Amino acid sequence: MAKKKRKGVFARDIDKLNMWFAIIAVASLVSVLWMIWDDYARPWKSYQRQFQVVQSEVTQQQLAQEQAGVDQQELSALRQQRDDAEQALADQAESIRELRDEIEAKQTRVDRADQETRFARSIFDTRRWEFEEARKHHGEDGASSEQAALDQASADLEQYRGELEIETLARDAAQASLDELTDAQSSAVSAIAVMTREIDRLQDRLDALRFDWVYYLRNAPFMDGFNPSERIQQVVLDDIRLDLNFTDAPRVDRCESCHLGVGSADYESYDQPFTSHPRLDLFVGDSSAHPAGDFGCTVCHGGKGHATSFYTAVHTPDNESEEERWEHDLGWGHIELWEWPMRTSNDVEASCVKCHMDDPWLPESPKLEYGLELVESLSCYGCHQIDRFDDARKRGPNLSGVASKTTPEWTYNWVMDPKSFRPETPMPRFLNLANTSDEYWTGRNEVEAEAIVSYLFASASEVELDPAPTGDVASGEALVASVGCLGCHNVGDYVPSEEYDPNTARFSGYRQHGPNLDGIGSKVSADWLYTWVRDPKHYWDETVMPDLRLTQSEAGDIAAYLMSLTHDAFESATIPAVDAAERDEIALEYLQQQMPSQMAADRLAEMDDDATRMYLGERLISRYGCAGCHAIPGFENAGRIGTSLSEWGSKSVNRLDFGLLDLPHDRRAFFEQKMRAPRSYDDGRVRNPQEILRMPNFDLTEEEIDAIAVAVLGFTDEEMLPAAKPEETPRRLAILEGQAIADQYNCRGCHVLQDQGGAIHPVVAAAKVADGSVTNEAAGMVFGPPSLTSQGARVQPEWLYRFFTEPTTVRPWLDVRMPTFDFDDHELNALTAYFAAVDDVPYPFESVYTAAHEYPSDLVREGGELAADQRGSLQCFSCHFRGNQQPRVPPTQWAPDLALAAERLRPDWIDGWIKDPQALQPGTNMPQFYTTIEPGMGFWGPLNRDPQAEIDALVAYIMSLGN
Amino acid sequence: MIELLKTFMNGLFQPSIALTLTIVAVAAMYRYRRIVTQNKLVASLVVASPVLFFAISAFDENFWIQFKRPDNIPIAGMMFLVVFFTWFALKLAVDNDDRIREGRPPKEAEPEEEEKVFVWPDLVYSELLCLLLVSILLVVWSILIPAPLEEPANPQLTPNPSKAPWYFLGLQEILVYFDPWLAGVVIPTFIIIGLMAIPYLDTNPKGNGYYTFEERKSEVFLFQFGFLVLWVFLVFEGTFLRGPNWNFYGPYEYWDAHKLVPLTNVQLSEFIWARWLGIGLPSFWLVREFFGIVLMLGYFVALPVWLASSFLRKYFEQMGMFRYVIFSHLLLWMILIPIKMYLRWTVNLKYFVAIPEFLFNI
Repeated sequence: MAKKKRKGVFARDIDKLNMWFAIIAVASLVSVLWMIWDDYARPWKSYQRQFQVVQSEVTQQQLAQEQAGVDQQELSALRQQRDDAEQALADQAESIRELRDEIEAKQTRVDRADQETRFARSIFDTRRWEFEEARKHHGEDGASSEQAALDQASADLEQYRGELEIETLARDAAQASLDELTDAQSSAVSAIAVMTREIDRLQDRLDALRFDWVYYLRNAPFMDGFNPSERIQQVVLDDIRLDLNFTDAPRVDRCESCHLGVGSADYESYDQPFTSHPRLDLFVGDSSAHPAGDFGCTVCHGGKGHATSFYTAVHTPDNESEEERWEHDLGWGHIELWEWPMRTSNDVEASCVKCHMDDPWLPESPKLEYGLELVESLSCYGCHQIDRFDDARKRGPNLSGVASKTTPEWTYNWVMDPKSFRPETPMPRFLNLANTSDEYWTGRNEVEAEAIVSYLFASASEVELDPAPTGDVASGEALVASVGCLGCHNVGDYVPSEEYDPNTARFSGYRQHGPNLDGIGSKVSADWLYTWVRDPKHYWDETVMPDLRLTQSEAGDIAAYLMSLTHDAFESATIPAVDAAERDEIALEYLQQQMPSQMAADRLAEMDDDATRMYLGERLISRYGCAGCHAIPGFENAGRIGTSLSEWGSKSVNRLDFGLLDLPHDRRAFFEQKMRAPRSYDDGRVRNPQEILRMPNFDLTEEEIDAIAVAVLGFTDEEMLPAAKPEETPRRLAILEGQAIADQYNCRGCHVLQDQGGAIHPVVAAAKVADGSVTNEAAGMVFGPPSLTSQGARVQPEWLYRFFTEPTTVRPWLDVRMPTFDFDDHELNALTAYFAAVDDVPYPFESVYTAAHEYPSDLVREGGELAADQRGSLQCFSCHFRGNQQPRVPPTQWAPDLALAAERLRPDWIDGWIKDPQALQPGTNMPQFYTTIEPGMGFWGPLNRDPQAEIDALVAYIMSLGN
Repeated sequence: MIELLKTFMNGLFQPSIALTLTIVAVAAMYRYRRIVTQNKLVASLVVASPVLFFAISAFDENFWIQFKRPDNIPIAGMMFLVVFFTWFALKLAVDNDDRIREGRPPKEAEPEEEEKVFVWPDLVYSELLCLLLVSILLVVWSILIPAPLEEPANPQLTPNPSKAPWYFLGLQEILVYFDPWLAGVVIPTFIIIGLMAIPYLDTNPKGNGYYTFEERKSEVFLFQFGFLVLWVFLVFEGTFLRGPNWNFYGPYEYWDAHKLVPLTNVQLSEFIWARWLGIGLPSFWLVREFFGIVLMLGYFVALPVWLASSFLRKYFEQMGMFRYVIFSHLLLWMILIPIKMYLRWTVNLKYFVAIPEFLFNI
C-alpha cells in the first residue's frame, strides 16, 4: 500500500469528508421523506378520494331529481310573497331597527340576571351544605352563624330569580312586537325552507364533498393526526371473536375503509369497491338481520378484517380471469399465512353454517341448503362424522330381513351397479371404480360382490309374511295415484320440475323421499309388498314409511299393481360363477391383516367355501362401511369408516393428499375432485388392494358437487359466542324442532308448510282429470291434501294431538289419506308446539275455546238462523259438511265438516276466517261475507245488521254444533 | 443440459457431500493461500463465488421462491460478507507472512501505521458518516422489502418447516443428530465457554495486533473450521436446503411437503448385539449399552491421554495438565459433531449410547 498522504494535522481529508457529509445528509433527508410518504400514501386513502367523487355524482343526481320534483310555481309564488313582505317592511325600517336595539339591550339584561342567579344558586348550595354539616357536628345552637348565612343566600337567590323573570318577560314582549311586524315575511321564509329542505340538505352535502383547501389541510401529512376527513372506517365486534389460538380478541373489520358504499343502496350501479351490498335487506343494513355494526364483514366473507390494503386483506378471486386482472391491476398475490382467506362469492354461503348449524332449513342460502340436503340424503354422515347429523338415523333400508324381501340375484346386480336399476338412487357404486377396474379387479369385483350378498342373505333373519291375495292391477294403480303414495314416491321417470332450482328457496325433491317404485316388481315378492304396505313397521320398526290404513283388498290391489312394474334386465338377473381359488386368495389377504401369514393359511384351510364366503363378506362389508347406512346383523356397533367432516372446512391443506394429480392446492379443488372421482387420488400410485382408497362413487352432477362443497367448506372449527347466534327463544326452538320432524316424515310431500311443499297436488289433480271428475288440473288441485298455512292458529292443540295419533275424516271428499305415522310422545308434542309456534299462538293452555265453553243460547240460535240454508242467510252448509250431511254444490267446492269445529277449531280463528279468508289462506274457496264491520253493513235484521254481532253469533253457533 | 446441471448441483448439495466439500474448500483455501490471494483470477472467483451462485441460481424458479423471502435475503448477503472478509483477512495475513519471512515487521507495525490520529474529526466524523449510511440502507431496505407479519401462532398448526431464527439454524441442524439435551443445552454451553476460554488456552503472543497465518496455522484453521463449517455452512443449509418436515432439498428442488425419505436409524447397541454378535439385546441397560459407554469413555478419557503423548504433545507441554484437559475436551466435542453427522449419513447410526431409562442419549 502506498504511503498515506496527510493534509495538515488530520489523518483524513476534511474537505472530502465535508463533501461526503453533504451528499449523505441529502440522501438521508430523501430517505426519511420517502419513508414518510410510504407511510402516508395508503391505498385506502385514494379509494376514499375516489369515493368522494362518486358521492358527489350521486348527490348531484339526487339534487337534480329533488329540484325537478319541487313545484316551481309554488316556490316562486312563495318567493314573491317573501319579497312583497320584505318590501312592506322596508317602510318600517326605522321602527324595526329600534325594536331590535331594544331587544338586544333587554337580552343583555337577561343574560346578566341569569348569571347573577346562577352565582346566587351556587352560593346558596354551598351555604346549605355548610349549615347541614355545622348542625350535624355542633347542634342547632352551634350552627347559628351558618343559619344566618344560609338565610341571606336564600334571600339573594330569590331576589335574582325574580329579576330574571322580570327581565325575561320584558324581552319576550319586545320580541313579540317585532315578530308581529315581520310575521308575513318570516312565515314565507319558513315555507320556502320547508319546500327546499331536502335540496338544502343535499346542497350542504355537496359543499362538504368539495376538494377545497380545508380538505387538503386536514389530510396533509402530520396534520392528518388531528381530525382528518380520510380515516379508517372500522367496527369492533365484541361478540364475534377472532381466534388467536392461545387467546381470542374482538374482531376488527376495516373493510368499509374502501368498500365505502356497501351499506347504502345508492351505489348499486357502481363497481367494486364502492358497490352496494346486494342483499341490504338481510345484511349490512341497519334494519337487516345482520347489521354491519354487529356482525362486520369477515365473519361471513372471511379475509383479514383488520388489514387495510387489497393484498393484505387476503381477497380471493372468483375465477382465473379475475385472478389475472387482480395480479396485474391490484398487485394481488396468494397469502398462505392467513387461515381464513376470503370466500369466493360462489362459496360465501358456507359461512352461514357456523351460526345456523341447527337450522334445518336455510331458505336464504339456497346453495348451502341444497348442499346440506344432499349431505343428508346421500347419507355422507354414514361414513363421515358430521356434528349436525350426529343423531341422524341410518338412511338406507334395514337389511336384517333382506332374505324375506328380495333375491340374492337382484342384490348381487344391485351392488354391482345400483343406478342401472334405479337411476336416482342415493346408493353409490363401490365396485368397478377408477382404481378397481383393471383386469385383475374385474374378476375380483365379482368375487367381492358375491361374498357380500352371501353374507347378507346368510345373516338375515326371516320375517313372517302374509300371503298376498290376488289383486286387481288397474284398481291398484288408481289407489297408488290417489291414496297418497306419490307424496313420497315416484313411479317411472324422474320429475324434472322437482329438481333443485337455485332461485327458489328450497330443493324440493319431496317425491324422492321414498324410492322410485319403477321396477319394484323385479326386486321384491308380492307377499313382502302386501305385508309391507299394510304395516311397514312389521318388517322394519324404524321405518319412516307411514301406515295408510289400507284394507286387505286395497293392499292386495296395490301389491298386484306394484308387482307389475318390472325391470327387464333385473328380471333375468343372475350371479356369475366365481372362482373359488380367487376367493381363497382374497380371503387370505384379509386374514393376513389380522394374523401372521402361516396362521392365516391354516385358518383358510380350515374353512369350506361357505365359511370363506361368509368371512370375506363380513370383512368387505366392514371395509366398505355398508353399515354406515344399513342395519346389518353383526354390525350393530360398527363405527364410521371415513374421516371426520365436522371441521373439514378448516382442515389444513397440507394434510390433504393430492396424490400425483395436477390440481390447485386448495380445499375446494381437492373436494371437487374427490366428489367427481373419489378414487382418482390413487392414479399413478403403487398400492396393494388393502391400501387403495375406498370411497364409493355417487355419480354426482357438477351442480350437486358445487352445493355439497359449499356445505362441507362451511363445517369449520370456528366457535361462535351465543350472543352472535340467533337468539334461542322457545318459539324458535319449537319451530326448528318441528321442521326437523316435518323433514324426516316428509310432511311437505303432501302439505304446504310455511309456504313450501304440497308436491303431491299436481299428481292428485292429474288423477282427478284422468277419472273425469274435473276437466282441468287447476280445478283438480282442491282434491289435494289441505294447506297447513296458519294451521296453528286454526286448530286446537288437543285436537291436533288426537288427530296425529288417530286421524279422523275432516274433508270427506278427499281420496288422499292422512297416514298414521305412529309418532312417539316427543314427536307429537314437538309437532303440536311447532304449529302453534309458527303462528305465534298460545300453547299449550288457553281459555275460551274449550268444548265445554257454554255460549248463550240466544246467540247460538241467532247464529244458527244466520247460517241456515235459506234466502237472506249465509247458507254455510251449501258447501260445508255437517256430520254426514253432504253439501249440495259440486265436490270441487266442498268444505270441511263444521260439526267437528267445537273440538277442532279455535274460535278466534273462526272470527278472523269469516272476516277475511284470503288473508289466512290465499286461494281458498271460502267467500268473504263481510268486507267491513261497520255497524249496519251486516245481513241480519234481528242483530241490527251489526257485522261483529253477527260473526259472534256464527262463532257461537259453529262452536256449539258438535255438542 | 441445464436440467442435468441442476440435478448435479442438487446432488452436490447433499449434506454429506456439501459438508465434505466445505471442509475441503476451507482447507484448500489455507493450503493454497498464495494462489487464492495473489492470483487475480482465482481471487476474484473466490470473492465473487457467493454472488455468482445466488445470481445464477435466482433464475431457477424453485430457488427463487426461497431466495426472495424477505428473511432469507440477508442470509444471501451474509454469505458474501463472510467469504469476502475471510478472503481479505487471509490476504492481509499472507502479505504479512511474506514480510516476516523477509525479516521485515508486519505491515501493521510500520511506523506510519503506528502514528496516532485525532478522535475528532478523524474517528468520530467518519463514524457519523457510516452511521448515516447504514441508517439510509436500513430505511430504504425496510420500505422496499418489508418484513412479513405471519399469522397468529397456532399450536395445532405449526409452520412446516418450523425454523429457528437464522442465527440458531446451526444448533437446529445439530438437533437432528444429537439428543436435545446435548444439542440444545450442553453443546451451546460449550460453544460459549469455549469462545470465552480461547484467550486462556491460546497464549501464543504472535499475531497480536496484526494478521498472520503461518505463525498460528492450527489455531486459525481450528477456529475457521468451527465458524465457517460448523456455523455458517449450517446456517446456509438450514436456510436454503432444509424444507418441509426438515427434509433435505437440493437448491433447485421444489419443496414438496409430501416428499418421503427413508429414515430408519439404528442404535450402536443394535449394531453390535443384533447384527454382529447375532444375539438379542440384553435387557439390562448397562450390559446393553456397555460397548457404547466404553467407546465414549475411550473417546473422552483415553483419547486425550493418548493425544497428549502424540499429536497434541506440543500443546500439552505448553498448556499444562489443567488447560490441556479443557482444551482437549472442547476440541473433541467439536469434532464429535461432524463425526456423528457422517455416521448418521453413512450407517444410519442413531446414538452411541441410548439409555431411554434415564433419558440419556449420546
